[in-house]
Parts: sequence; C-alpha cells; structure tokens
Amino acid sequence: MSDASRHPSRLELDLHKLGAAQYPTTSSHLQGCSTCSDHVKRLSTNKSVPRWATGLAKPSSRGWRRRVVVASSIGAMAAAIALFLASSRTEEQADEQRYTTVKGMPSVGIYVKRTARSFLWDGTDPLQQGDRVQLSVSGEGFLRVTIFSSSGDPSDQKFERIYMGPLQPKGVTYLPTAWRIDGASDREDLLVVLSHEAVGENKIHKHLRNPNRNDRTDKLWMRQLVFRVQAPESAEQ
Amino acid sequence: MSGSVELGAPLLRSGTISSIDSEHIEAVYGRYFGIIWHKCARMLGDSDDAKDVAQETFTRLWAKRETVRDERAVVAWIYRTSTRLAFARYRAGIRHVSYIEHEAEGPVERGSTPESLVLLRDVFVKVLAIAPRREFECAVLNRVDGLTQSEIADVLKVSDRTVRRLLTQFQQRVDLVPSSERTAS
Repeated sequence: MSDASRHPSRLELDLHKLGAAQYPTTSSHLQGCSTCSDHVKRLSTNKSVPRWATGLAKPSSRGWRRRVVVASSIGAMAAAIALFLASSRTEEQADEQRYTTVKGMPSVGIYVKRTARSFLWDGTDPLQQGDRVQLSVSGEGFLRVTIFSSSGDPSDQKFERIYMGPLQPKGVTYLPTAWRIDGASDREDLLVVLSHEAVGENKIHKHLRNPNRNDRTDKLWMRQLVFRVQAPESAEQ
Repeated sequence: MSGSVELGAPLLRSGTISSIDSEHIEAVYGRYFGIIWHKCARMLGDSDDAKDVAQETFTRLWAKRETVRDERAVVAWIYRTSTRLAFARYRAGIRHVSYIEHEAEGPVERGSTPESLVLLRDVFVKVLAIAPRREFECAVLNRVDGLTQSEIADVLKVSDRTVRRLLTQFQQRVDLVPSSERTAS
C-alpha cells in the first residue's frame, strides 16, 4: 500500500491508530481522506470497561473468589472422589435447572474443598463460607464450556460470564479455576453452558427470554446450579 | 510481521502485554477493543453475534497477553482470530456483512451503482457461506477489510502464493453464481 491515492487497508489504519503504521504514505493519505480519517476516529472509545472485561482481570466476581487450583490438588481430588452427577440428577431439582437441550449426555461434576477435605457436592447440602468449588465437565461432543454467575430474581436474572474455555473432545475436562464462597450472600447461582462456539451474556439473556424459539437450541446445553450458603460450622472443621 | 514498534502508550511497558498487571485491563481494553469491535461489526454487522465474537476475541487476547510481543503482532492476531470466530457464525447461518471494501487489491468487482453493489454484496455473502475456511478468511480480509495479498499472508501466516490461490478459488466460486444474480436487472 505505497500509493497514497489508494485507501489503506483497515489493518493499516488500525496500526496507524496504535502508532505502528507500516507505510509512510498512510499519514498523508489520512490528511486528505475523510473516509479513512473517520474510521480512525471511530476506533477511539470513551465507554467504560464492561463488567465482563474487568472480570477477566479481577479474581473476584459477585461473591465468587477465583482461585487457580494447582494441578496436584486437582489430581488428588479427582483420585479421591468418583466422577459425579449424571444429568438426570439435577433435573430432579426443579429450582436448579432452567431447561436443557440435550446432545448426548453431558454432565457436570461439582467438587467442594472445605479446609483439608474434598468431596463431591450432593446437590442439596449448603456450602460454607470459605469453601472452594471446582467443576468437571463431560462435554459429549460440545466444544466449549462457559460459566456464568447469575443474580436477581428468576424473572429478571442478570448473568455475568466468569469463565470460558475449551472442552476435551472426549472424557472429562477439569476446569482450571476454582471459586471460593465468600459468604456475602446466602445463595450463589451458577449457570453452566456447553456450546460449540463462544457464548456471551447477550445470547444467554436472549435465549432465556425465549427458550422455546427454534434458533439453534440444539447447539446449547445448560444447567443452572443453586448453592445455599451458610456460615462455617464451628472450629472442628 | 516483524520489527519492533515504539510503544508510547502505557500498554506495553517493556514490549509485552504481560508486563501490565491485571489492574491495567482498562488500558488494554481502551487500546484494542475499538479495533476488535469495528472488525467484528464489518463481518457480522451491529449484531449480538458481533458482540459475542468481539468479546470472545478480547478475552482470548487477554489470555494471550504473555505471548504477543508488538503492536503489529497484536493486530494481526486480532484479525486472524476474529475472522476465524466469524467463520463459525457463518457456518451457523449468520450472514451480516455490513459492507465490502471496494478499494482492495485483487479481483474485486467494482460496481458503479448502489444496486450493483448490493447485488455484489449478496453474492459475496452467499459464497462466503459455502467457502472453505481458508478461502473464507482470505476473502473477508481482502474484500471486507481491504487487506493486500501481502498483508493477508502476514496475518494468516501463509505465503503470498497461497493467498493468491485461495482468492482465485473464491473468485471462481463467485463466477459460478448465475450471471442473472450478479447483475442489476
């Protein structure tokens, strides 16, 4: 793109915006081209950073404290605890699921680490402040897992993405992140979404508003998990 | 895609994004998200899909911050990744190309009337939906983003010759569309 009379590519204009233009003619072209200079001006954004972005950097997210669990502890937990939770189990808990569109038989395992003890969550017992929760997912063909925390009443739930990542094509994927219950609320909600491509808050809101519409519902599998939270038991824990 | 760039902004303190601690995500967002968003909007329109792909691209960029080393590499990575994510949306039936860059190099048809440009865009989108991934990437980078063949080769990390071949193949697919669909009646 050495000819100043031609429009530079969008890539070149983006690089110019960052002060890294490759071609010396780009600056002079911009001086005489409103189309390209408008594009460069539009790249600036004064919008505040959205929550999903700040959540990438901060270890906490609405009561959940992210902690990376070292591989050894993952292995120890996995060895100590059998794989858990066929999908039918949570389906029996009416308030814990919204709906499911099934492809194969995905499942989610929920591991709780309380002080030095690790165990599988039984689906009903309350969690305690300080507990750490880690998930394992058997995707059964789904390629990605996205975890949202949710808040608000059921008719107006707000979702915030707190994790997303790939799933192994076969077998169980242990998510590399654990969340710590900080006890700020007596209830914590997680929404586990399996999909073939990235899923954001917008899609989830749209989908939950109209779960029966026929827009690729076979491409999503969802499970909502509700944890009741109570204060820690006494010191012997 | 080489050479060091002087980075006056506080983002890349010592040449890598990783040198910024997590509190500086605001700086990374402010610096790159506009580029990501406009790139996605060109491919997918001002849609929820564009927002999702932009969000996914930024999230991946943040995760890659320890390995991306200069501005050119960052922007090339953004173009490569977001285009590949958009490909999945096209395969899922999402077709929202907002406009086509008519100044790009290569076999770009130059319509002279708004009607012919609309037809060109419709044919382009139709062919995009069926093109293999590599052709899709080259076609989008060339005709939507206006990249030269050399720039595409840098972004996709392939040779110029491969880019020429893929663009030619894409054009052949366009040519297979009946002429009645490619010209204003």
